[in-house]
Amino acid sequence: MNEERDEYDPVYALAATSQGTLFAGRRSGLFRSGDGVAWASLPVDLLIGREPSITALAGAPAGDVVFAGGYGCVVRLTTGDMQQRVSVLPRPLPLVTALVVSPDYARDGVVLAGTAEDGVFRSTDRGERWTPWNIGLLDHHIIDLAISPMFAVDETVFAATETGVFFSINGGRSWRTSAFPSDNDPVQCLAVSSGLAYDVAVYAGTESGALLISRDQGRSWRTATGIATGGQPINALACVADTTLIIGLADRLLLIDDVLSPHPGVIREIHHPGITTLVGVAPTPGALVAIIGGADGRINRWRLR
Amino acid sequence: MFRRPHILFQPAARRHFLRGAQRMVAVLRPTLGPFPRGVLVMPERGIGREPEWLDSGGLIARRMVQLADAYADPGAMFVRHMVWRLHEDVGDGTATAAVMFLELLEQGMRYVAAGGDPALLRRHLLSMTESICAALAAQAMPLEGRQQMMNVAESICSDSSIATALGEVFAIIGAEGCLDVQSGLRPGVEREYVEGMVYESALMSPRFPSDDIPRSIELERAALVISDLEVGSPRDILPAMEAALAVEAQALVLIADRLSDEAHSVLEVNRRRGALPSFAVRVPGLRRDEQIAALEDIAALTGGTPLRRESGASLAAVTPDQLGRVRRAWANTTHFGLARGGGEPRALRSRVDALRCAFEIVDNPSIRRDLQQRIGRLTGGAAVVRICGATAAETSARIALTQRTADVLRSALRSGVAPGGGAALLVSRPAAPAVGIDSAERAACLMWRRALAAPARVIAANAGYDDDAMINTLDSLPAGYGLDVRSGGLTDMRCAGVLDSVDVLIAAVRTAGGSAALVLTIEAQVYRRSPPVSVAP
Repeated sequence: MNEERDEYDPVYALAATSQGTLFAGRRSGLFRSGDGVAWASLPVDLLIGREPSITALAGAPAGDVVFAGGYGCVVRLTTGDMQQRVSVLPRPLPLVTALVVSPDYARDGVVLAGTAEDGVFRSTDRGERWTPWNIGLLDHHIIDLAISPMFAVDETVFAATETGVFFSINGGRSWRTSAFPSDNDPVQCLAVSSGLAYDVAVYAGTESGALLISRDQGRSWRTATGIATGGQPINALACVADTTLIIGLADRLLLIDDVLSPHPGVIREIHHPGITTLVGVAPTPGALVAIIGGADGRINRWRLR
Repeated sequence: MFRRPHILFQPAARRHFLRGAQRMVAVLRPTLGPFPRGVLVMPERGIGREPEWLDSGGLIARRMVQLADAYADPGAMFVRHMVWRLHEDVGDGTATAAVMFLELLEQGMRYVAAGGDPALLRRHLLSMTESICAALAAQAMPLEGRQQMMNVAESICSDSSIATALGEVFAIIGAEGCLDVQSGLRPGVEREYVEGMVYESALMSPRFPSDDIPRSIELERAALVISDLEVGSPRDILPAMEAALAVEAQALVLIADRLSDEAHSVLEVNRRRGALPSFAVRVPGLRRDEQIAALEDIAALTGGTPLRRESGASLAAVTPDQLGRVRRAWANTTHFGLARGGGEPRALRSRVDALRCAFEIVDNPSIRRDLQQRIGRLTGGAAVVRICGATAAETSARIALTQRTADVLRSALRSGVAPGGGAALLVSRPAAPAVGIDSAERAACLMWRRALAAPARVIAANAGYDDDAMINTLDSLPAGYGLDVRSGGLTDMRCAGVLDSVDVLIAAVRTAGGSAALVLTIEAQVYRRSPPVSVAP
């Protein structure tokens, strides 16, 4: 286990590029690591004063581009030469809480940004210009976004909000309400199975500790059975294989296998207080490593397989 | 013109009525199909007016106000009103209904002339109408995706640029979104999306506006006073401003029924000084119920409390918790808009759900339109389509066509679509059972079977095919196959994207069946000395 400590410097977001480079968004700014152990600060000129906080991160699935979001702006970072391009979002300046990049980014250049009070912004020119697209979105408090791995075909995006999940089937330009159980419980995080095209599984973790699963591309949801969260908020989710899920609870980490079966198996359970975000990476075939960010500023690396 | 009023009994009355109906349907028949042929209508009165080229059954019927053959006139005018009402209610399906009606009428009159019981025939016709509607509803599939919407739009308007624009617009705003069709400045069809809740209500200005008063204002992080009050004294404004500052708003929007020049000047002075940028707009809506609904909707979106004069509310007593909050507000000389309101999302969802429930229950088209607009505003998106033609007449004709196509697309989004080109009607023929217990039932069955094939027959004939041979060929093909006139092939209409709104098909079947059943029971016809000219609608 390795860690990076900094008091009052919570980790808001983590992202991994296809080349294996890791990025962490913290209150104190953007950090970069090659192995998840040693982290180096990356100075980012956010243009706008206040704090240099990076509150959202997303890497393009192929290539060396990472997007980082903060207060009122999104930074496009080319990891090879570390070039930065800052785009300011339309006024009133929103706080970016989530970012997703189209799996077909190289061709369509689509990036979506979820914000704390202003709904979803969409860019079709690799993050240069942003337009709010909130038609049908009845809750503008976006906590997380998830994008279909088949986005180039189905244009499906999911938005987690304080009152449930919304989904879009036109690339995030208009939104529909999901039939969501648990009385519109705030949804803290989303994860999409990489095999969405055939197993159609989307996962949502709620503030009250419920893990919800949708098998019809977000239209309806059911509560997953057999996963004991003890009512702890689910703060982070990562779907690493089609049916393997890493769940970041407020006090521990769960590795769940065969999550779609009626009796999913908890393979590992690791005590880890204050998880805020996580990302799953496979440094070698068959291996699985979880990089975990915490509210206390730690970034830990756990080998799960 | 007749020398005196007189009454005509059967069978003469039936013969004359049929002749009039045939004449009117013959004018509508060419408009059926994806490449409708037009009808040139000369103006009724006036000098220098151009003749109209029309391809909409409803509009053609509306222009036909009288036949020269006074005996046949009632039949023609009956079809005219039947078609126009259908056009008003659903916006499409007029030619389909007309050809089915005529087929039912011709066959039914033969049956009655041969001694059949018209009352019994009517009963069977009506009961089969419902079975056929159920069979059509069972074929409905959801209309999804821009391409499908474009196909349906093109089948309605036969204009690819309008169809492309509406396909894209409805793929984004959906059945509930607000659509405003306006005349544009640049040739062609343009579309634009407007975020948030938009109302037709202008910026309030003083009675003697000066040049430095802006014609358009945009504010950020504004507090809203949601009221229908008359604000006379400038002192009444101050508590609202203090309340806005108390909630750390950066601007103030005042919605009121009236604002005195003095009160307006207080807002204006503050705006110029930059102390608290603000604007005032009149409460939206013309009718009182519209205004109350608008205030309540704005309150739900922004989390404020409506201050209504009936409840004795006063601007002087406004408190911070009564103010709504919005991230972005704008107003110009024609509209104002609110985007990303600060209302409680759960309350907003409940309100939208309640309006959707009301929409499902209500039958009145005008109330349904109002409810749909309110849902569209609350769900936060509006589209504007701008049309510009070579002449003013072309522009207005294309605007009307766009609006009609949009209405049908909306209904197709709600009710679903079925194979087009008459294929869904052909599939519905078994819903009229082949063997009946009495002769009237058998007659009704045969009448409906022929009538349901009539639209496919006319489409084939209009495209230059032998209609009898085409129907025989279609009967040997699987259900849902039809003639795709655009490609000239026999194909699965769903796969080819040739689709019709199920709502429109059901309305056409109901109109044709109900009207034919009624006409077949007519025993006598009264002719007046001077037959009135049908000017209404």
